[in-house]
Amino acid sequence: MTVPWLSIAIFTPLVGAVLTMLAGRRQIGRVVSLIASVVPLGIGAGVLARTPGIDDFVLKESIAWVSTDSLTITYTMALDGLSAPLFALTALLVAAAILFSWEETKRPLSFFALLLVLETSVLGVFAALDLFVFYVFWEFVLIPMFFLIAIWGGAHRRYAATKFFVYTFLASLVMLLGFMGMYFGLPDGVPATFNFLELQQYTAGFSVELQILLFVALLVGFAVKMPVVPVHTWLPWAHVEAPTAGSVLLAGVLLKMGAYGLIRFAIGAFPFAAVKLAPLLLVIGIVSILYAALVCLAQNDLKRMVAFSSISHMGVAMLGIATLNEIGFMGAIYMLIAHGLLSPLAFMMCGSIQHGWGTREIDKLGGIMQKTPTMGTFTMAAFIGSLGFPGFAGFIAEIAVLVGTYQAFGWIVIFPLLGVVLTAGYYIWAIQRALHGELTAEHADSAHEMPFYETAAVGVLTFFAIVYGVWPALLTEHINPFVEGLLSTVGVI
Amino acid sequence: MVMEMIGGLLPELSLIAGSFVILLAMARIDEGRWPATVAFVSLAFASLFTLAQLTELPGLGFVPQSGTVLDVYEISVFAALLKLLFLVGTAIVVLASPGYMDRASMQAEYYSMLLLATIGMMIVASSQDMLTLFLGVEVTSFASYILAGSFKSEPTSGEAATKYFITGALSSSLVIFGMSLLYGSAGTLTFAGLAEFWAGQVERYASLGQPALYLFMYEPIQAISVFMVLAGLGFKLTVAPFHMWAPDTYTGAPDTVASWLGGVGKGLGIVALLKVFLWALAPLETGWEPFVAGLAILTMTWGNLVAIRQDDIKRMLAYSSIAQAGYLLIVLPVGTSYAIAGGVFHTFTNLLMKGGAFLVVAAFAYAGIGTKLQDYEGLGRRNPFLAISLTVFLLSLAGIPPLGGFWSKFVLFSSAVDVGVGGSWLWWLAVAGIVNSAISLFYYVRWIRTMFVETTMHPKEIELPAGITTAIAVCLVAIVAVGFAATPVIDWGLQAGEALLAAAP
Repeated sequence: MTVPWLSIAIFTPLVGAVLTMLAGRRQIGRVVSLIASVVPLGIGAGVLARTPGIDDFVLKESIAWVSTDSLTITYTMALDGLSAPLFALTALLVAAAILFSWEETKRPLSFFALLLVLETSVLGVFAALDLFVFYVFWEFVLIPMFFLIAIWGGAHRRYAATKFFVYTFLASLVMLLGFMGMYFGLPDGVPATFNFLELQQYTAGFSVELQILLFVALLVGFAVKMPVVPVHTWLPWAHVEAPTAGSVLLAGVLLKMGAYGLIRFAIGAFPFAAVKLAPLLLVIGIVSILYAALVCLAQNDLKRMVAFSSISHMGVAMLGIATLNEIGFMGAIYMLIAHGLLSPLAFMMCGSIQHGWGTREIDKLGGIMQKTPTMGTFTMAAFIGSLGFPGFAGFIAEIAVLVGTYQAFGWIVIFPLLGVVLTAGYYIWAIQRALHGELTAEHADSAHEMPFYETAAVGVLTFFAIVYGVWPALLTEHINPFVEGLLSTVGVI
Repeated sequence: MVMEMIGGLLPELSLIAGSFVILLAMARIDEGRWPATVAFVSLAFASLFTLAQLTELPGLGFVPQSGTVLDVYEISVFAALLKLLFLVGTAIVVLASPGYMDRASMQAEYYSMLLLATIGMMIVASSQDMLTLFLGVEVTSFASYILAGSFKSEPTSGEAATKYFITGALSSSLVIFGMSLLYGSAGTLTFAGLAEFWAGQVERYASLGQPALYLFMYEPIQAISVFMVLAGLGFKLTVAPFHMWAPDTYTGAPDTVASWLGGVGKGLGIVALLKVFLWALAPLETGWEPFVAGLAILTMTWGNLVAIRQDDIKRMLAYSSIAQAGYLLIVLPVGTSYAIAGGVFHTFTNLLMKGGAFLVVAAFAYAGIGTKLQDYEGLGRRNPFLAISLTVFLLSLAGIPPLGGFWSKFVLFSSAVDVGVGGSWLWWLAVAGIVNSAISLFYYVRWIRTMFVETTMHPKEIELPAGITTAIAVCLVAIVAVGFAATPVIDWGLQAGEALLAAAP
């Protein structure tokens, strides 16, 4: 009997959530929750530590869940080069979020428990290979996130939480329709199954119209989650109103679910439709990059700026997917990890600035570097990392996507390049106004440095953002075999 | 022969016995909780006998598992499975009633009527002809009119009963009028006979080279008969536009009665419609399919849109119950055994989640909390158990995985996609269903948010009778558990669907 490591990793946080609620006191509860979040982190890191790279599914588990004449569902879980880094990233970010919220005072036990429930569902999303199981985890993510925003959020939390919940729920249901279509569209005589690895062998044989229809259904669900323009309107609300730990997980892992699903399921199942619709993906990607970057320039609230920059970065990922070539795909997946480290870092810094300076408004800030150098340095790292500065993981991703775009679409690469310039513009402008300059802030006298637990959390994220920036092979050795495998199916068409 | 007959009717006989014992003893004993106990015991016996009709049970070999009683009453998997659901649902309501119903002046009648209403539904589930079906519908209806007026001294309860009675009487007359026209056309009222008649009609039109739909144009009497029956039974299921009575009745009736009506009682309409449309009128499917599918979409959309505007939880649940009727109606046009499995499944989860939600309302009402949105502020703090239960029921109604409501909706919608992939336009039913699920989430979330997010003014704990707490806990555990162990439910639903479809030509 093999040990079900993957299920242990997925469900330990859930058990931890129950224990946290039972702990009774914050001092005990937060330690319990941190321990529970470290378990999947260890298992995820263990998978990533494999050399040379993951080239097939590892830690695979499969048991029948529902088996009737008309409905067959298997609990099939595994990790591969695409999901393993995201899996580990999720575990890392939850641990960092718990650490960052160490001194949470408002209903702390429920807060930590919800973070852990969220972790279980997101880990499940990345590990599930049965479409039905995937959907169950995918949808369940919404519940803890809804409560995190609705209870611990900012002034407009009620509106933000409801909009987030209903908007993404509707999109997911469209995706579910697509899954149903894949299931019932199977040719006669084939045992009906939601197991993606088996479905994948038949989906390319569907009629062209059905393939495109189903691809679009999946695209709706995934594009809203990513999100890309024009289905991004839930994001600014949810990200800005959420508590810092919530924004960290929203930006860090929830957005990745969309791109992950798009790569794994939509393109994996319907490569032909992806080739047909690549121009659409290209336009969506470029519009997202440019539109969100322009919106960022106009923001006065640091957190809102970081939120919109997520849309821009997800546009880069979408662009990488649209290229349908090796380097573009690699860049897109690399972007998921890079953005998954840098954007949470930026959100944490927004939270720290809010705590330390009492505001996040750029025009009320100034001289952060001078008064609180640690906070200033990490903010600087987050911002220059996000704008694609060499030495940070974001650079590798962007350069790969740009090269891929040039290979696939030629001169069109000018548009994303313009986006890069704009991104550098708004980040550097924000650095100049908020971090440097005179000590003009209202509360400058009472401003204080980050507490140690916040420093620890952002330190870990900065460390990984730099490691993956200078040593990309650590990730690419896992990503590349996956990309090659995926593209070989696209190439066949 | 007689023994077989009695064996087949044992579930119904147990309830009749329980009901009569309560009515007869009422005159002599008028204190204490004994009526609830009698009702519960008779429900337990009935469930046992029904279970014996489904699977072999040791010592109950004398209960037949198939066959007919007096040619009008069938014993089949379909009937037995639905009866079991109704019995379990009623038992939960009976369990929850002591305490809450204490302020009713006539408690014994209340339990007796609950049993009678359940008997009527069992008759419908087993009916083999229109007349038996009508009888069952009427038994249930009359018992539920009385149930709705259980709080005699309260005007709202009286209003609920009156509205219910008047619209109910109207709908019954529609059904009986439709039936008389059917009898005039076909010369029979058995489902099998009617099916044969319609098959002949459809064949006649086919031989003339015309689609079955034209039948409605050339033979208006037959068209009217079909639509009368559809409208009359639609009233019972709260199908829009025949739903107007439901919000007022659910709001005015005692909460436990609303729980029964919205939970178990929903089964009456759908079972009657399943029997009539997928058996007696099955050959005419191409004729009624567009109308019923249209009604399904109209009902779910109307119910959900109006529910958004409700600031009273009982009205909100009532409109959401109308929306559930719309989802259930998907079964008829799709009409596969998988769809019927979905219908049975949704009847089951609906009685857990809708019934459970009304029971939570009852529990809050027992503690003196009103039914308005602002009354629910901060209840997550005052009684976490009730607030979490209501949250789970509402999320399940919206169809959030992995709760039971998600599964039953999944089976319903995917059955529409199933025929849709085959080329039918009915996959639009699934599209309508998911859009509606998203709309419904919007208003459910409002209540959930109110309970947990708003701060409370009254940090007072809420104390509850043990019965209602247990009943809610049963619903809660069941709706969660069914999400993890859906296989047996779907399996039984499929068997029931095959049994029903096998009876039809």
